[in-house]
Amino acid sequence: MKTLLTIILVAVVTFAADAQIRITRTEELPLSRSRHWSNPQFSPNGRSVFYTDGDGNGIWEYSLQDRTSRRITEDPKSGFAFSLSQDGMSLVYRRTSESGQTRTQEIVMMNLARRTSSVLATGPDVSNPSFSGNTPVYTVRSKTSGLAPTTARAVISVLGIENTKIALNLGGRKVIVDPHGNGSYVWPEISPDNRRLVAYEMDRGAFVCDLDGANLIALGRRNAPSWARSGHWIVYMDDRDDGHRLLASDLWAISPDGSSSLQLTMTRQTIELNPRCSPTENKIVCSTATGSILVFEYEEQQ
Amino acid sequence: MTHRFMSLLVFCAFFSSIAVAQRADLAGIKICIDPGHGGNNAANDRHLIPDPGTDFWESESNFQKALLLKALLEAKGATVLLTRNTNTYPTDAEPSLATRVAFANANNVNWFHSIHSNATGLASNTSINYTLMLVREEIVPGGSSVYGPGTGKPEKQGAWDISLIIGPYIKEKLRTQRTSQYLDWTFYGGTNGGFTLGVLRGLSMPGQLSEGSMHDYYPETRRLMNNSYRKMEAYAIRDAFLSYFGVPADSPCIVAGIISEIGTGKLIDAARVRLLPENLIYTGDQYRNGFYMFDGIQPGPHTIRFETPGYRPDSAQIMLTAGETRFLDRQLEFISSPMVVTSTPGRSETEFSAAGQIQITFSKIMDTLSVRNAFTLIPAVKGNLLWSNGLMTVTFKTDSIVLPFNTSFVLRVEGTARSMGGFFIDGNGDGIPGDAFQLSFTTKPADVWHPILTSAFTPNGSLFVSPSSMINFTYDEPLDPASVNTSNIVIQEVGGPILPRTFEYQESNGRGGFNIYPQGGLGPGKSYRIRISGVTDLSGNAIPASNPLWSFSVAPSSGQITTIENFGSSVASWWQPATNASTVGVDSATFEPDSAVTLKLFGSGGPSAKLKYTWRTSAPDWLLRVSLRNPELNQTYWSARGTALQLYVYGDGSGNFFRFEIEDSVEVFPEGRPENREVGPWTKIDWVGWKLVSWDFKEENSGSWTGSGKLEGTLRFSGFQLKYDPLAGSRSGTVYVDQLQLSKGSDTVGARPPGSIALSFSMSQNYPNPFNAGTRIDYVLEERVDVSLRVYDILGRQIRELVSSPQSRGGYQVYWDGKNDQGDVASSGVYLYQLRTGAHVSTRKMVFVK
Repeated sequence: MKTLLTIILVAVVTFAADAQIRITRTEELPLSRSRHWSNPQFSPNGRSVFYTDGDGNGIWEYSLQDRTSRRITEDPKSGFAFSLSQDGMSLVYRRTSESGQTRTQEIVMMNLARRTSSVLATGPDVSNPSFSGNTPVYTVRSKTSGLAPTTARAVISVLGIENTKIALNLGGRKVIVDPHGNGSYVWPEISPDNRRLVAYEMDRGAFVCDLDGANLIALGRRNAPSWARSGHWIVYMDDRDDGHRLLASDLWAISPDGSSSLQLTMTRQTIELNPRCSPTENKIVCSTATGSILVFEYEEQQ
Repeated sequence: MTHRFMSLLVFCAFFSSIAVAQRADLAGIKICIDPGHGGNNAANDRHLIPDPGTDFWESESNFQKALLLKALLEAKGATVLLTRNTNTYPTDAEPSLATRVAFANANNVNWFHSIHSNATGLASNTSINYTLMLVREEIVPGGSSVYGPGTGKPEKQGAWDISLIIGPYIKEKLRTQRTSQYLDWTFYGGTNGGFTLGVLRGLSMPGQLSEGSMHDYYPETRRLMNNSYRKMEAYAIRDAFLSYFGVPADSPCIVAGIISEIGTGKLIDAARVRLLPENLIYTGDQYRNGFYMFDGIQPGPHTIRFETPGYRPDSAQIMLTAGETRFLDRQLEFISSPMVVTSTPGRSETEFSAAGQIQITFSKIMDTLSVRNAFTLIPAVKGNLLWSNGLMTVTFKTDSIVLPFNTSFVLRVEGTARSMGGFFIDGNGDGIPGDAFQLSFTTKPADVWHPILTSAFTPNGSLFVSPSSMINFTYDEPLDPASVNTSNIVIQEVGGPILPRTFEYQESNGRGGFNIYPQGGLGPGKSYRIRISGVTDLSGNAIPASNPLWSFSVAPSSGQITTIENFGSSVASWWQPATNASTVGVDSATFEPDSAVTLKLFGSGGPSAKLKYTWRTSAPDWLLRVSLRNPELNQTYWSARGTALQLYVYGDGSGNFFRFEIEDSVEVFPEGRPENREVGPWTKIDWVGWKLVSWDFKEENSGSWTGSGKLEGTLRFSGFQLKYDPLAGSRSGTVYVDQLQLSKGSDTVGARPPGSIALSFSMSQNYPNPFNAGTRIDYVLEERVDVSLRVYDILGRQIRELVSSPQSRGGYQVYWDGKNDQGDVASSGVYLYQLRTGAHVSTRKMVFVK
């Protein structure tokens, strides 16, 4: 589809100028309505959006260049745990199947060009896979595979959550970070300059700190935080519920020092969830409660 | 799915069927336990006060259950994670539902379980207590994760299957009445506007939610305050996991029960129970539940001794089988003399009505013959003793219609009166049985005064703008209902005919009032006169004939009326006042539908809503708040100009106060915030019967509460409030409300058009306040302008510059972490924050507590 289906959802308030961030354009990806889509993220080069369905069963790719979508896999629960290699050529994911009281998980590596795949590991509890550069990294029975300190010194990435703590890949070395001390973490993400970390501690809220956990700045209840590529803002969702059901959610941005925050969307009818920022462009992708995927363009002014 | 993967699954499934049967424990199973809700926010955390001093928070109860369940599961080898590890959130930043789901997914757990307790939503739940299991429902392709629709099938069969075990297990351990199990979308409305449970959506593993029992059923509320009782639920859930994963059940046993008092049925606090031969002692709590429990008990013969001080000891022999939970309830006899708990009249009362009933309530069931022989009233009046309240309350019924007027009496119950169990009364409460109870009182003189008018709706000479066609007159004493009739009360159109009319007469708090309903209504633009003559009090004293005649006019137009709430058969969309965090100084308060007192203006008159309340007179402050659960779901929005908010209130003549509550600036803050809650002026409830209470926004006469006191932007209704008058108000009362409406003059009333945002400058009170970790300051700019936001100490010295730059039109949130410009944490104390723009300066206080 050459013509963009563009919907301006940010109908109300715009913010402009002067150390500001504001949405300039909103696009709903023209995806099939036969499924509920969720968990989108940009590819490393920012040219595609990878996403899954509401149950995490499968991974799809939408090309922002040629405006086409394709299914990568329909493996069960693969959409809950997948990662792309730095060169964008490979995808690694975890597929899960349950039979009775038994769960089986496999780490699957896929060559996106040739569409060939191989199983790297199997077990009842395998980690969320990631990449160290272009090498897949995963943990099975406490043993982490794929880290090579001698060849990946420049690589810094998030490996995931291990036993409620943050696992980082610092130059091919796995480091467990617990900035709050006995915290329970979720949503870790490293800043574009590879010097800072944003994450959420379950009892204390979001925070920014150094990669060793030092110099922590509390941000409060900022959910699903994601670094803007400039590093000057962290985009998050302000989801509201009554303890039973999700009532509303808008996207906001907060400065990493926590000194100010700005509302990016004010759409009462649209519940925006789980934003992720593009590593290469001023774009944000998120899903909605009705199963669509939105791509926002934004501009920053210093 | 690849062929190889399928083959592997088949193999694993076969292998697992063997492995499950042989599983010794839960090793290798990772379970995420979610203690539902969190913190102490009454809006979301279900706060109930069944008794003074007993604060039940569902969030705390859930959290304690989760901690207990974690320990029990870990003892069986499972790995257990909690979505929250505290119930203390100073900034109310408990993890959202989506955050909890993300945490479970990030940790790749095998199973998710959310612990809750339930509530009926009734104003008063006096009997309902059941268990409910909720499982996420499969959503149709392309449906919404929040609003469905569902397919009628569980998304994960495992969650459904284990719930079929958990529900009955909880029912057994908590002895609830029944257990039910539903798919979430179907349960929460289904095709009739259903929604899904946020905490189950997006999980990568099976998950379910248990509502163990009803926390608004007060006997259960009190039990849920007890950690041993909570542990019973934890055992039930653990045992269900053991059963589902094929782990052999525990052999240690549980012995539990409830101890109450013979006769009164009162549940005994601090009950002491001893288990032999282990010689374990359980001491109960102070929450009026009588609960005790021993766990980890080996099978075999045991003796249970009930040793609560003040009660006759008792014991029982039991034989426990492996894994058994044995309930052993006991009633104990109180070792004490009966005492007089309450009396009417009170001691030394000098204004006792001659028509009043003399009544005494004892603390124990009484031997009626001994009381009859011990009862004297001097001077003597012929009459009989009538018993009620399970032979604990005796009423003296005189043979004559009334007692003698203006007479001093002495009432005595001699020390020979005794309880059914043979204990003589302790009449003077000195702890020694056998002495008499005595009280003196004096009846009032015969009534020679005519009733005085205390309230009239509509006032004499007024312009009647209401379309209600109903008039109310209230007097300072009860009236003779028979005298409230068409002969004595006449309404006539000026220059026209006498109108046919009906009446309602009612009494409350010593006042009498009647409503006049002109049949066919009142005509717009017409004038009327009312003559009252011959209406008397109970002693025959007639109200003087009104002279000049009562007169009023009806406005040419009543304006446009929009019904906001007509209080049908349910008030489920309202918070119960006792659970509202803003309610203070109240011993009890219920809000429920009522069909006995109805507003007959509109058709046959549907149910009204009854607010029954009792103030705690010893409290330092009083406020009773009745508010909507979700004001944002209300579709009526308006602006202040030319409108009036109206509610029919059936007054109780209590002398207490009523006012409206609304939210403003909802176009900027659609979720509603305390800073945007404004209130109307207080109206003294000095009438008995129906009256239309109105808040006319034209006068901008708002009161002072959590908002700014100024009505800004778009408004919507959020609730109403009552306040106790400690000098002249009644301690308890009942008011009814019906037909909440908006009366519009020239401004538009109706649903807010989407996108029509009118922003105006404002700065809100910081939140939270007081604070320690940090606080948030919200403000709205109506145009692009240079902005300065600074924090000053109380001496005016700048502490921190938070904003100093031009900013565009819109809403902003700024967070202050309590640090000064040098990065040091500021001292505890009062600070000022000031927002300056080109045309506005706004300053507010905040309190920083380290």
